[in-house]
Amino acid sequence: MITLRAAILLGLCFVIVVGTRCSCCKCDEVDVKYTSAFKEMELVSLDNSGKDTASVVNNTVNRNAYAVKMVLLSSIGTLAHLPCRHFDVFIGSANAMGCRCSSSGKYIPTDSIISISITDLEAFDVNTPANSDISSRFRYYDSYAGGSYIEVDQLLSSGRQSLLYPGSYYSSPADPMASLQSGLMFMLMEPPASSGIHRFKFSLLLKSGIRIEQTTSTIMLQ
Amino acid sequence: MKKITALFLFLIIALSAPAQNPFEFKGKIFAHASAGYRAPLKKYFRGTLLDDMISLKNNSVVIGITHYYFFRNKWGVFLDMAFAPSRPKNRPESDLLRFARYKKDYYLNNNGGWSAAGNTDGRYSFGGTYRIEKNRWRFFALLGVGMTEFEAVEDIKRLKEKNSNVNYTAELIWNGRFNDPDFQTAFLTSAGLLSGYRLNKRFTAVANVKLSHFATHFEYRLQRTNQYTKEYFIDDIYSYKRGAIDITASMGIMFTPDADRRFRK
Repeated sequence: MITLRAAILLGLCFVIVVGTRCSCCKCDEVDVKYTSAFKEMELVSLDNSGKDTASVVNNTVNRNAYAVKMVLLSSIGTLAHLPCRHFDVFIGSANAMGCRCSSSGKYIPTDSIISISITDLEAFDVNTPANSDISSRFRYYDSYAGGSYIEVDQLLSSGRQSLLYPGSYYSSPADPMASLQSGLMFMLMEPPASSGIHRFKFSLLLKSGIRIEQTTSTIMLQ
Repeated sequence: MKKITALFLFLIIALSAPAQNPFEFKGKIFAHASAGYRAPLKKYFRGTLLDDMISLKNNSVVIGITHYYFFRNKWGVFLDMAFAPSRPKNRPESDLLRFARYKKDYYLNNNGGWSAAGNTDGRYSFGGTYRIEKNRWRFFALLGVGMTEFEAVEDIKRLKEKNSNVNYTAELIWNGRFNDPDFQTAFLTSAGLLSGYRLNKRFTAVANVKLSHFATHFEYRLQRTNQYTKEYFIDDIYSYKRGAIDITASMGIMFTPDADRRFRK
């Protein structure tokens, strides 16, 4: 009796293994994945005093309504995979219809951001000399879930770090986008007590050790 | 009040009619379905901006079902359910008006919320009833307590402070926290008179007048919260601690399944 059960079990295993093996098709297409790598940064000074955020005019802005948009530009790379295989259980006809490659996908980042820091190259106020880290004075505003202001250093640990990476998808493996960009707007929530000229330097440290930096144009916060 | 006086006169005239079996009470159980109109004697709404966030109505068509059980020949109890099935209030224009005070210092974002009270306006009462029956006439007097169920919706809008990076939320809340359940109940007392004319053994045509009083004890707070500092400010309070009196006149059909069941004289 035990021998019979073992034989049935063995037979089932054989059918499953042979069936699935035979059902996988092989075709000439290659499943291509695309990657993104941070390349450079652009900073845009913004005036948030109106209903909608606008670019700063004449490099002068109300210091209570100053914001910076950090745009991260990424280059696109290619990551080739194995030939496409399609898993159709017990359908052994290895025809082209059964062999599909993924037609779209998300760009896979090859590096990750470890830290973001913002420094003022000018004296921020009497107690904060030039080249001081003023990251804590900026916030990212998340309008979802009732709206909340997120500190710059918490952005990477708050589950929102994906906002920093290109979130776009390529629709076809044969037609990737020419360039990728991602970015966030940081608002100056604790402005200096008095008017003055400032230049803000944003610095991103990547896991690979690469540092990407950019400085805003000189801004008069009045 | 004229309607009440007319009903009393009708009652007296009916009772003074010649009698054949003055104390012949038949039936223990009655069910009564009616439709009518409710009009205020003391209005609940006084024309303030938030009135349309509350599903109660000053005037309304009313449908109702009442059950009676008589444990003695003259005395019984009743359970009454009345609904105001008119269309729900729907006023998108006033959504922004409620927050219009902020227009001077803030930009108003209308994507924050939507507040339209539903159609909930139900009254449930129970109490005692006394009846007089004479020939084909049947008169019930009712005194009851219960509750009125209604909806008091809340609203939220987002504000952006002018010349600033600071965003606010403005909320109209009545129970301290947004997204609390919107349903409320208010204590209700009612007194009613019913006169009926027996059409046959089981069915009676009835006319009913009912006086009701209810009182609510809540208030809306207009609360503004700085989303950066989390500091909040109570900018206004709209009190709905008030009572209302209304009168409902209705007509309907009463059914008794045990018409042959007699009480002892």
